[in-house]
Amino acid sequence: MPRNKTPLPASPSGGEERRQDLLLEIGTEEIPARFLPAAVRQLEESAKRILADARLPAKSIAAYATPCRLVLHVMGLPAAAATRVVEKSGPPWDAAFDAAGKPTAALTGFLKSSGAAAKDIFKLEKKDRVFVGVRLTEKGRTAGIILPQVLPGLISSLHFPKNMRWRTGDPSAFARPIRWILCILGRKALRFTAYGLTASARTFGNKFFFPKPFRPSTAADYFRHLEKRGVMVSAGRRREKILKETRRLLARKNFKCDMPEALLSEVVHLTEYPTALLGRFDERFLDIPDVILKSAMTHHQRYFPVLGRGGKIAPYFLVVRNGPPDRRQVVARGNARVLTARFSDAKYFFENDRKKKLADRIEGLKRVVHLEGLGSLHDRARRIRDLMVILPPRIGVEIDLERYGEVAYLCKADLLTEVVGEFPELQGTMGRIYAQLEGQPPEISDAIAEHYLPKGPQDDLPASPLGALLALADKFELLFGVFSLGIRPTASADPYGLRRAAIGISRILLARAWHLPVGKLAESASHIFPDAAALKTAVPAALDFFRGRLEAQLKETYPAEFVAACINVSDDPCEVAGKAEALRKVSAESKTRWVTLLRTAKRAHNIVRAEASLPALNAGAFRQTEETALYQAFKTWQTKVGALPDRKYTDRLRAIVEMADPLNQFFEKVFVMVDDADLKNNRLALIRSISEAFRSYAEFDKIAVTD
Amino acid sequence: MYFQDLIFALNTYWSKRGCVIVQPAGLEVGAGTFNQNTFLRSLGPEPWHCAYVEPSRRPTDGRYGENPNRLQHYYQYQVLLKPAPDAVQDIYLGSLRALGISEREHDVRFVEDDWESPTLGAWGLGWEVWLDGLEITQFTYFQEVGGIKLDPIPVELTYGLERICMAIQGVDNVYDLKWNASVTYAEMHKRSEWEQSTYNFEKSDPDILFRLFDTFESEAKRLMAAGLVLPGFEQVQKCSHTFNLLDARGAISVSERMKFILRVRDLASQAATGYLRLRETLGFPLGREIQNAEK
Repeated sequence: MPRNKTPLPASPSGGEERRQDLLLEIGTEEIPARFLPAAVRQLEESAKRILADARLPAKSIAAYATPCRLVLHVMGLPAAAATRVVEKSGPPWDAAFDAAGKPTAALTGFLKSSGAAAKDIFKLEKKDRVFVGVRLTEKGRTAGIILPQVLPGLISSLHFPKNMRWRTGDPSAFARPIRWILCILGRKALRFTAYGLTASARTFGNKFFFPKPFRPSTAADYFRHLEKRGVMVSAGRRREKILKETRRLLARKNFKCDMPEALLSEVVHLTEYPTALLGRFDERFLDIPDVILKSAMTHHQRYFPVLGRGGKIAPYFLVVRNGPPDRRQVVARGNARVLTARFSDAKYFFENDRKKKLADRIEGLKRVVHLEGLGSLHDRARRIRDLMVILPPRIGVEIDLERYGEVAYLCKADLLTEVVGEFPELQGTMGRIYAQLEGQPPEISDAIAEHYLPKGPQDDLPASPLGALLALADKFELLFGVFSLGIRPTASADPYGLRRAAIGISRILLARAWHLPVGKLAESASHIFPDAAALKTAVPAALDFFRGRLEAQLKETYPAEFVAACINVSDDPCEVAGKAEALRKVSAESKTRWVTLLRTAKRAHNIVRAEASLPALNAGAFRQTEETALYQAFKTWQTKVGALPDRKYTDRLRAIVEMADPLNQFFEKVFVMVDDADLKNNRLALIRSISEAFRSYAEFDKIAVTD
Repeated sequence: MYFQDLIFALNTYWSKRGCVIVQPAGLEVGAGTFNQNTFLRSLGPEPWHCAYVEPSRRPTDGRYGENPNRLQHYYQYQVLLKPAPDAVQDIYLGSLRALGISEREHDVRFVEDDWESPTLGAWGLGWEVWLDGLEITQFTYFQEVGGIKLDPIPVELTYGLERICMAIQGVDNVYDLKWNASVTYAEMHKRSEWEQSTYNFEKSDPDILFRLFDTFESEAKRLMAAGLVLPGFEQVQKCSHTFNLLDARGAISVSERMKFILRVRDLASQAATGYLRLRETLGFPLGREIQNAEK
């Protein structure tokens, strides 16, 4: 029997007074701190979607996370899904009544199964046929029935960067094992099963301090009692507690504190009940460069460095424990001991490193793998050195290679120092420090540190010209080298940092106004790579990738269609940016002339683009004066434009605007697609010459014409 | 608590919780994971709970006895629980209490750490356990071993005995640890750290090591082909240690390094497959007698 359920506008549920709160807690073993902020967002969004699908619109939804629990608090949930009227279709109308007008067995059967009476039916048209229809009032099921069916799906809809299995015979996975599920609707526990667990009203406090289970009666009761049991569910409140205690601890000694946001967020998500403690370390470690002390504290121990007068590091650190105050100083002293061990190591490494010059480590780069197929780091450094020969004349800068060429190797030498081995995040930074201590000139020590810049889209650029050149060579070698291996970055996986390299190349070129056709350079530098043929083959893909990043960057400054019109015309980021700038400027100068240009350019392109083989233009074969006039105008124009410097983008564009006029008149006076094939082709050849001249500047057809 | 008492306390604790207290591999290994009681017995459905000390060698970590925190030979305490009990974190915290470490007086933290062994074709997820900021244990739910997906999932606990003992005894230099009332860690190991570091970095003979690697590799293949998985696996362990020695000596070039790792991984995966097949032929007997007795 055909069935068709169409929801009609819901009738008011009338359950306004019977709203209640839902609380869902997924109790887990410690989920990585970095997963939690995204998990909270997912939980909120999935809950919204699932409740909307179930026709249970809540007044508000909030989600929370600690390392050991993901919590969903739905406030003002209706007691039941809204009542709705649905149309149900039965047998075809003409099969519903017999010749005598009596209901057939098909109709009575349908009515019986639908619980409707003969007087309720109406004609329901569907795909040119008429069926028997009835309207049925469908009472919404209660939240207590719906939720246990949809909540297991909510839990399994959460996804994490890495998942694991833990139950025998169960392939389902989660970030870390789930150990309990609490679910309360109003004052009632909701029971359902997920991941082999049955949800109940039972939960646990802080596992170290209040490990015994307890049973909150309502959502409000849950939040109140959990805090008494060493768990602050809200990340915002944990953060406030850390900041407040930090201020109090520092105020006493008139210290300041370096609190990078990423570290603060991590610490907030590493604790259920944070307490800030001030620890102390031996002043003899203050000889070690600040960057090493800071790295040891922040990267390795998740401590906050403490700064004294003048921003100088003080022999203290701030550590956030998970639990109540440390009255007997056991935790602070224990952490200080760990820090002392790290600092002793660092001091030993630092002093040891200084026994060997950076230059003497270069040979050792031969023993460090870069990538299979691209040889060692020494090989990579040699290619960077080659690029420092190839790049400067193309960009138009001078470099004293006698003096600075070795920096291509020196910049990688700190990778072999023990400090960088222990603190990889200090690559470059340590190179600069060692170079300074060895008495290298500042240009070299700065270039060593700066060649890793920019590390992100917002990060600082190399300040020195040598640093910029070295950074450019480094990123160029990386991007094209890795592409030559057939490796392609994806939206989710870019292990070699090619996105960063591509963005870095164009940011440096644009900031320094260095013109460089990136793809052409790659082709002509292919011989410095182990597989020159593979590199050449990879250039189009690499250039596509590069253009994608450049286009996204430029769109932040220029209208998207202007960027799109220029991006494929040149592989020189400065040219693309210069033309986008010119388009913005010239398009605003005269609206009518701009529209004429766009229309004419588009028309010219459309008319010739399908013509595969046109003969060469024959100036003697013109028949109409307009043809000759256009040809003459174009000749004069070419000479004039030819005299303009290449990079006068605005002037060149203005010239194109001028040339659009005679071309437009030509289109109005001359019929191109005549039957005489020779005549037609000659006209097309003329148009093509002009169209190509236009398109060598920009693809004007990518810009929308607006009147 | 003396160093040796730490071992006794852990043995007692885990023995009471049903672990077989086994002994070290008796071969040079880089970690307790290489011991067949972890690597091979992680595989397949048979339940297996064991604990042992594993003297572990990391030739590249040698510092001639001069660094207070680094050793090329140290002691791991290894626990493998298959299947992982639901309350495993709690049971683990109990083991710290057995060492006199109260999780309320201290700050114990489970900090994300993903574990992977390229030579063993193994990976798992879990944490490093921090005691007041000091990493004292690797806590890993194995997901794959020898390239084979595991079910049931075992949990591996690897305690760093020296670090824990240094925290308990309150010393900053590993060599100051008291092994018992009369002997220090320095007296036990300092000289050997110097000699072994000298051997690892200066005096080992790469030609001999390369020949040994090839020999162990072909022996491993021959023995495993003959169905002798366990002696074959011992040859794999020897291969792995020989590779580590070559690595410390700087004798393996960049392009060869990955190839050596893949050669070891290939052998480890053969051993894992061979072992699983062997246990299957035997009908996965372990634990069955206990189950029968319970019936």
